[in-house]
Amino acid sequence: MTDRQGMAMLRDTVARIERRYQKNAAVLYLETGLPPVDEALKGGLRRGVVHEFLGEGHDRQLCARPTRFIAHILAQAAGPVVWVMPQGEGLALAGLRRAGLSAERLLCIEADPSRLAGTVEDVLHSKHVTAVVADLTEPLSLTASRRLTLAAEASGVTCFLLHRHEHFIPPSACWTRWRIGAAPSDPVRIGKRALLSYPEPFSLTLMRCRGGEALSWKIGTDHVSSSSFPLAAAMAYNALAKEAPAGRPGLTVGAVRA
Amino acid sequence: MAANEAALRRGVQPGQFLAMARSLVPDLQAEAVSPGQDLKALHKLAEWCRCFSPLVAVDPPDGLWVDTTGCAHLFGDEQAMLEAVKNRLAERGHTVRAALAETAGAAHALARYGQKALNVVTQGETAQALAFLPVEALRLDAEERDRLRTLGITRIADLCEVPRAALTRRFGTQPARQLDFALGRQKEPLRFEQPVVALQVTRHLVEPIGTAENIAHVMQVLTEEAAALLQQKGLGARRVDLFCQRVDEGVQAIRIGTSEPVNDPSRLLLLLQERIETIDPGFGIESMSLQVELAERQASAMAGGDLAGLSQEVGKEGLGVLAERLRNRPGLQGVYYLGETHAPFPERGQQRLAVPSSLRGVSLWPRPTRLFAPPRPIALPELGEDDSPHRFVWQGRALSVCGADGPERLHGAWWQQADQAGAIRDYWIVEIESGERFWLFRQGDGVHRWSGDGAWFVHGMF
Repeated sequence: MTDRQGMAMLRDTVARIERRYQKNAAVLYLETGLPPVDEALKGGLRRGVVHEFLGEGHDRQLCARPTRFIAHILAQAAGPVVWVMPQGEGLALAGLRRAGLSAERLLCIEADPSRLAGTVEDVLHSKHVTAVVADLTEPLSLTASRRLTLAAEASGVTCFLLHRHEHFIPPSACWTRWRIGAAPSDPVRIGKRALLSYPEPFSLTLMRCRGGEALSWKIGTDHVSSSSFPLAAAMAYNALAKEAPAGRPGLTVGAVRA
Repeated sequence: MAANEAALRRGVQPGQFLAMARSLVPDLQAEAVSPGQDLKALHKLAEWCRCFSPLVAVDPPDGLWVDTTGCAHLFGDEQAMLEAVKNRLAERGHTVRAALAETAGAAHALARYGQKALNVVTQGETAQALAFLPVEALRLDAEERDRLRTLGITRIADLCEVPRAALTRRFGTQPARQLDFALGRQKEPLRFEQPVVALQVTRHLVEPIGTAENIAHVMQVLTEEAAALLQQKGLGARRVDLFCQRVDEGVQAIRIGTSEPVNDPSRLLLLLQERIETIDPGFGIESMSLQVELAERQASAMAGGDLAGLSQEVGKEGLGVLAERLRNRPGLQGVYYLGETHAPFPERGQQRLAVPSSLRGVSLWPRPTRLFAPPRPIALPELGEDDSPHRFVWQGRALSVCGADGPERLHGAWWQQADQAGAIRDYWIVEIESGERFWLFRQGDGVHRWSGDGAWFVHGMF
């Protein structure tokens, strides 16, 4: 028994060292499938860290767009996904399927809000999982988010926190924080009717990113694309220069790569 | 000779000679008495009687004691329970006489010598109920019985009147003691049957333990031993109980279940260790035992496991193990996979599954990733000429619609639920000025009353 434990520990250490010097982007990053976003993030969303997501406008509580975005990212990667949520409004499978996430990869866990963070941390410790997504009904404390970061780092499992509330979010140890919302599309007018175009446009805002800039994208529509998600090129791509608070260091003002 | 009911009807009497009985009934079926087999059958029946109460003791040669303390309410009341006992045993082909009393001795006496086949003696009436029974009802030797009879003591009431000192001097301690047992003046220890388990491993500890590390260590020793035994037998555990006997007589128990037969010690240990925090060691635990309650056939797990970590199937297996571990965890309300159903309405379109379904198939129409549960009602929106919503009020704010897609008409599952017969919903995807898309629906087709009342709801967002 002890031999096996020692062996497992050794293997983990080797894997962690290897991960640090890995050149293969797929091992280090979860690709978003959106070339400009991937390029700006140097390969995608980093694995083994915590990413936070917020909804926008009427979607703050429901977080349908962030859910869709996360499902889309996870659809690009392989491996099982664990979704931890409080009891109540859960996920709609049909929509996740359309975003590309298959049901057999997805394990859902319902936990008390008080036990949610502990459960997420526990699941993060298991190595066979690609990502853990948690629906939060209240913001986590800095300590709790640090614990999650440490757990994610140790196992290499990526953690997505979905803030499904409208409270103020205190400082946290997350790697990136995103606000995912909708962008107006250009309905096609036929006679008196205005028909919607698919896929629907998104607005992605990278509110903060450790060691990087705050950026935002508008993912437009492409009538030819048959993908479940707008894979078309970003229409507009501008830094948050105007909205960014002036005194904050680390924000490069005017980092525009149009 | 004993006889059953069919034989009694033909005139055979218990205690007759076999030859005499044979002359009465030529085709009489007779079997030799075999006390060993009778006892075995009695033990088997005792095991079956566990459905009435967990505490069952045998009373050889022909009786069973069931301690029903705290169990009668499960059957209604005591009379109902006794009838249930009789009926269920009758279904198995046994003719029984049953009595329910405060003490084991009284129940024994009433079941054998009482007037009715079913006797219930309420609290405090034991002495009264026993008074007119013969002294044989008390479990006495033949010699003692004869001596009592010679002195004219035939009923229990007579025995009660004899002064205790004289009783003990003349007949020894036995009659007085049995009388005390029957009347509840002295507590009688019964030897209850141990429940049949597939496997049991026990460790008595030299000194009481109380820390989590020590408990984990004993758990490890126990699981390794149990797993080795299971592997030898080619079995895997499905349900395992761990009992921790505390110094102060308390027992702390943990039960874990597995989704498939498991005989891998590390996997069992992982499940048990999850629950260490629920054990209250009190002043210390002096012995721990691991019982495999339910075991099923399973191919032996490869000893040693996969040392190099080369196995490819680790992903799926890992998720299964994780799900199993979480299912055994207290405080989690559900651990499940999602699966699709064939119900047309979206809120019933998915179900919770214990194992992942490999069904593939993407719906043709756009569907949201999140739904409101239940759908949020909204006031009747302003409709355009083509019936599409133009303005609607959501959370107190009027939103004007830039574009709309629909209607997508869904019909209720009349083949499953009668109340959904004819139910229609018209779904619209509408986009407001900020680009957010809502999924609205109207109950009914807007024309016919039978298809729905025409109320509008927001069901989700895209």
